[in-house]
Amino acid sequence: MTWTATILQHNDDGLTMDVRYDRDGYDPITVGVLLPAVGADLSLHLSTFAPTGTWQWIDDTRTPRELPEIGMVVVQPEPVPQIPAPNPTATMTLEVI
Amino acid sequence: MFDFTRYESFGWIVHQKRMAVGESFIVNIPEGYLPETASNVTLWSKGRVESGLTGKAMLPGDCSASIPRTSGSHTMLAVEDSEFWCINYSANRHRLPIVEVLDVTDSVTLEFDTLVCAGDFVVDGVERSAPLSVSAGKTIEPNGRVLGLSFKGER
Repeated sequence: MTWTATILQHNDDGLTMDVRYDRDGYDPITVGVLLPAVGADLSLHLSTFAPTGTWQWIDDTRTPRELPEIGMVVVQPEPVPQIPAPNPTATMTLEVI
Repeated sequence: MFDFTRYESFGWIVHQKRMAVGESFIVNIPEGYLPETASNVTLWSKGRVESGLTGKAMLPGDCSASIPRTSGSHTMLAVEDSEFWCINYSANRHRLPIVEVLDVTDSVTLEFDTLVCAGDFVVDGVERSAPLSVSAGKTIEPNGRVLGLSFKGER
């Protein structure tokens, strides 16, 4: 997923700014974003506000869907290969060089 | 339950797992499994982990995206202190990258944004160590073997 973010304006609340996220194949999405902390990496800060959930929802609505037959009974599928889910833990953002 | 260190690299959530000797986990491989459509992308970066079903070992540089697996229940046992890096479909909001394994001992200029998972190297004249996100276009000079995952795109 490759997106670009354009800073549109600083808002009157002194806490947020409007940012437009552009991504090929999708209409632009404007998001209210917290102003970054002093010294913060702007690209990493903006990545946390990127509307990935909205894009996923758009993808879901674009997917052709069908109507399974009413009354159909489906057996649980075989488990896919998967390493056990990890304990919830904080995410460490790696330095980017 | 596993204990992972969870990282973010170029927008991808990646879990680093260290396995001590004797530690194990079970992976169930269904009939018809294809590496390129598996729900995880895993790079083995250290040690040796063996399948109790086939005896095959996962070694540094092996990547799940390119290794066929025998169907069945595999108990994966660490016979050495081991480490792997896993990009999970669910953790990444039902997305997975198309990756290329970085496995180098000589200087290389990266074609894609890369998560360096193991090894020491010099970049921009500075000595660095994994893990580190290194942008496309950077030249890394390994000090020994360097392993990583280059993000070529998205499935």
